[in-house]
Amino acid sequence: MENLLSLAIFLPLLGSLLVAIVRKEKFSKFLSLGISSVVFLIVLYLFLHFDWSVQGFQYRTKLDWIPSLGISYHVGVDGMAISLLLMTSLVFVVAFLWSLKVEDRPNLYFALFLALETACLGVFSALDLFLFYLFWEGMLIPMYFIIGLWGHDRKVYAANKFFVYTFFGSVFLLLGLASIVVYGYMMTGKLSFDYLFHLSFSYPMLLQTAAFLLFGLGFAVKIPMWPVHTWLPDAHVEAPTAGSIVLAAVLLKMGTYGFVRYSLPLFPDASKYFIPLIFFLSLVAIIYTAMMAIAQTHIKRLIAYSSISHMGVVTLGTFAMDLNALNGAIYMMIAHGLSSAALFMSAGFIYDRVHSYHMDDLGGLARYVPKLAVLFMISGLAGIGFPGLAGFVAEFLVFLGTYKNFPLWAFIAGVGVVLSAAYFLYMYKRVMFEEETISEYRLEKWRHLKDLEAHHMLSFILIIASAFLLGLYPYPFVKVIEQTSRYVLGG
Amino acid sequence: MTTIPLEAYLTLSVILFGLGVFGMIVRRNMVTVLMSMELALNAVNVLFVGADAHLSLVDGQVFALFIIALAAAEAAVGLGIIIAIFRLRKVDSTDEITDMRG
Amino acid sequence: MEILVLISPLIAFLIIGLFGSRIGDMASAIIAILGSLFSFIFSLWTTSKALSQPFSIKLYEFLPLGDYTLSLGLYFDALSSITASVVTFVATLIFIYSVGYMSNLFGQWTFKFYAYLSLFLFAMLLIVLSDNLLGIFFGWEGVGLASYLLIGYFHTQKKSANASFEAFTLNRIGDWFFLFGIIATFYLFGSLSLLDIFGKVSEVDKALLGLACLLLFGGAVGKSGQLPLHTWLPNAMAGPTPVSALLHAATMVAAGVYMVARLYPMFENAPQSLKVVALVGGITALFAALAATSHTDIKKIIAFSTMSQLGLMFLALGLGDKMSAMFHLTTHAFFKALLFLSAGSIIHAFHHHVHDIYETGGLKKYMPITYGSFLVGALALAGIFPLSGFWSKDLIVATAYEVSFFWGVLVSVVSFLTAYYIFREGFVMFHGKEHFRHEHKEEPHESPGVMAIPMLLLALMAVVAGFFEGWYGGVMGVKKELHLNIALLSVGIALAGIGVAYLVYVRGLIDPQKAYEALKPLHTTFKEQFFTERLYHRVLAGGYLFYSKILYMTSERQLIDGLVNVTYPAVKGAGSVLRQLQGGKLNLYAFFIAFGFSLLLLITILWR
Repeated sequence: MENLLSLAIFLPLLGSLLVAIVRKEKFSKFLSLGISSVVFLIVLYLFLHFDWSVQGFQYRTKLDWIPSLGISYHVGVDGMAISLLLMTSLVFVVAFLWSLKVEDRPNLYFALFLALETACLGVFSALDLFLFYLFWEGMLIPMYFIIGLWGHDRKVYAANKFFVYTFFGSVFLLLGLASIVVYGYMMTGKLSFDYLFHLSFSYPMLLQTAAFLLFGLGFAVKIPMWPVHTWLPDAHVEAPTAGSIVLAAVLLKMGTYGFVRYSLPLFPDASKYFIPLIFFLSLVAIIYTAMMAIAQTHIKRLIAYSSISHMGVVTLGTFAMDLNALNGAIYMMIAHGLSSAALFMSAGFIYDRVHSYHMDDLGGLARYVPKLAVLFMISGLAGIGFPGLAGFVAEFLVFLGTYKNFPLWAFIAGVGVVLSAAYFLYMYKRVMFEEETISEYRLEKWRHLKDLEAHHMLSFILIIASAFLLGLYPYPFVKVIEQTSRYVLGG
Repeated sequence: MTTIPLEAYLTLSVILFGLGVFGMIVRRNMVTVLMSMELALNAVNVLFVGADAHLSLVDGQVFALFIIALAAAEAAVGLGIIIAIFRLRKVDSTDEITDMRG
Repeated sequence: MEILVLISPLIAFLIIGLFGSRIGDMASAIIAILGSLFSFIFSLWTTSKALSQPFSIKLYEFLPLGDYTLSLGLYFDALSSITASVVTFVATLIFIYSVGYMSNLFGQWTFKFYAYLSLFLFAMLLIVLSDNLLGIFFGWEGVGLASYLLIGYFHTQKKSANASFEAFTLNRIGDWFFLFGIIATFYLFGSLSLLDIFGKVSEVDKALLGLACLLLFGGAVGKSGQLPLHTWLPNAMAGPTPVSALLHAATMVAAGVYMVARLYPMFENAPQSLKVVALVGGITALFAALAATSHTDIKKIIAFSTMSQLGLMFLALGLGDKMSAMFHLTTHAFFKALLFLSAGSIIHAFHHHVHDIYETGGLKKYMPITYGSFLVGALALAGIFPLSGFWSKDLIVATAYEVSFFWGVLVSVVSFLTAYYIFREGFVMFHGKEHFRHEHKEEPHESPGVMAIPMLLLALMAVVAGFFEGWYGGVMGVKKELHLNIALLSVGIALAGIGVAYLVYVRGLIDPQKAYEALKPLHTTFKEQFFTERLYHRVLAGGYLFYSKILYMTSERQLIDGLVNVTYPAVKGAGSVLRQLQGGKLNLYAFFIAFGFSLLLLITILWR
């Protein structure tokens, strides 16, 4: 049971090596799909056996790695981590499923994605600061190549921007990690990178402030928070569809995960101190980026900005210091993972068929690709927090919890509900409706468009069924998440 | 038997080392640079042996033997590289081998 | 069993949505009608149960909120079950009618239409029957979505796409308030269940309760098209006519009034919030009635009439008379649906090409059933004895005069305008010159039976529903008496309105065109809805978009991204200076090694 988690983490890496050695296209595709499905099933098994009434981390494995530096291989999950792992493994299954038709250097592509999966799963389950940082950085490399090699026109610019930006943040994160490890050494004479070891400390305010800022900068870049967000639209615009799916659904969650896992419990006083700053940045993110979104004519750039806007809701809920709000913030990570994946799939499909992301080139598609029109609409509704889909539960919890201590902030943040509907429907209108404004030349092209194929449909169904499940029966999921929220706020 | 004072060993060693470094900096011929390097190495050998004689130990002499063996190996490899470069490029000046520049 | 009221439209929606393309449009229509019909039958059954003893059903545990667990469930009492019956009855008739109305589109994915209709009905029933505020919100957003899909049903046209976009966005502004109203209510009562709220309503802080009520009312304003979130309602006429009928009679706009009535114990305990409700309702009633007098679109006149009547209902609610508001909502559902179906019948007769009343005319002899239906609907709307509108409107008039003379006069003015504009429309379309001869060769024909029968049934209800006033007041626990002088007054005012319309449009006493020319500024002001629509579209929406684009080009591109992009040349410049040192010159490297080593040595020595 304990080793299943490690198996899930490293199985994709093993697959990646196999793919790199065998280098047969069919083999790569089906091995990737198979491995990711197995990983998903393992995580699902762990999720179903997760006991939310027990505090602390479960399925823990701890092995000495570099004992002289106090570094160990230590993994384990709590309610938040297991939920995120479940979402991550599902998103990877979908990403592989979506990529079945990739023709350009498929072996390298699948090997990189498998390596990326290991890194992503590792980040969410690491309980050792060093191991966490290793996975955190390890994810950069495959993603850099995925954007840089399979991207669109300005892929190299976007890949460099992505890498340099996030690496810039990571350096501060490393400094922060080092500072608390050194402090622990000075206090106890024991050098340890173990998360649980550090959880038992209470640091002096000065160190908390400094470390909070260092950690915070690292996480803020990854989330991304305003104003260090500009790498995300570029990265999304240039990334291939599966890359965008993973980027939006999983990578952005690492930053918010870091806030909940490290900043809140390790530096509780500094977190309280910085609430106004975080709230201000969150509100700017919600409103300003929603405005940015509606100004776009590029579908993916719009969705990217909407992601930033939603991440603003997550940071708002994270720092509201309320159980419901924190539950909602974590729920939002999962809900946004699903909805953004589905939205990027829709955008990617449009590009595959029409070879353009620009709304000026599109319009009136609804009658020619009806299945996509329906699924795109549902994806968008999931994104704008429509009741019955996962996003609503998350937004409701965040606003409810934030309202308790900060009613005015919560109310202002609520305008995101209106603005998100505006930008999504405005885009949908320009992409799918208004056929009468489209030239006959385009309509002729539209008439030959092929609707979703089987593997597209399956991808959509997996994601959207999950979004409905989370939106219609959130009780067990919120209970699992609450296991984390309680200790984060209580500790 | 009058013992040679330690200062003499040190002075000799420093002079030899200085010559070696000087040669490495100013000479452009690769073989000469290599020879200068050998000179610097042997300066260290002198220092080791001298210090040993002064302190009546043998550790330094063991080191010196190692360094001689190492220097021989290094000279062999170094000369091999130089010859390979010369065959490839027909040059023997360090000024013209700047492929590793940043 | 009771849950079947709610889920039979949902089942219809799922069947049609998933298999509609395979089973065909006609089968989809039949499934939708059956779903609605079953729901109607079951709701009659539950009404009979609920009238003797209100009861609730728990569905499942939905969400843990700290120590409180929110369960979804249904609550049946007189208010909810009667409303559910009315909604399903009107909806069933409209569904049947739409088979005829949409018949020319069958074979073109029309099953979608029935899927949306079923979803619409399901969402509305969720609002009506939910036993907690979150369940109401689910339905609330659900009708928003369904109306978006239906208003934009002819989405290939820019007009429809824009109208649906506007409807959803304005509704979302209301939903924003509603959501925070729910949250504020939760912190007041520690629960979202209606029964818990009603039980504790007198114990909580009045000021906070008022705030919660105002936020909740914000949602009702959006959904019911009241000022200032009203512009979507007339534009929603871009959808097919059965949709307009459903939207304005049974679902959607009625939701706002129903929600306030449902949460009336809360509003009653916060009298300040009721004043706002009355004010918004009163102003909207007058505003919309004035706008209706100057429009010439067949459906828009009726749409403004809905807005005006909803305003009256909110006024009644605000003045503390829940029963008459709900009774007017019920009778209004019948005669407004009837008016829309008649209008649809005319549009259908002209093959969906005519939308202006001045392009019709003299239809009385070609379409007798439609004429009769429209007449009944118009008389009921005007409030002529003994049609249903008379009974319900009379209650509101009486309440208004009771509270203050000002409100009474306002309601009377609105009644006068109502009678005038609806008969203006009727006279122009059914009497008068046959303007359609210019463009249409063939003569209009009466609608087929599948459309006529629902109209006749609704006409019947529009006539007789008023007689249930006593019974309705009884089950709602209110006793109302008819005031003879007020009844005479309101009938007289309505007759005066009809008379003016008759003199102008049938007798031709004044040439209406010239009159409108003479009053052009006034006419334009009314027609442009006091320029609110322009304000919203151009200034607010346009301004938001424009400012967003400006912000994107300046702040985002130039400032933030500009700063980021500046770092690249800065680092590159620094690098190009430093790279000179790494020239690949072996001797230079050796010098650096020696130099650096000497430096370290020097420092070590000097340090001592």
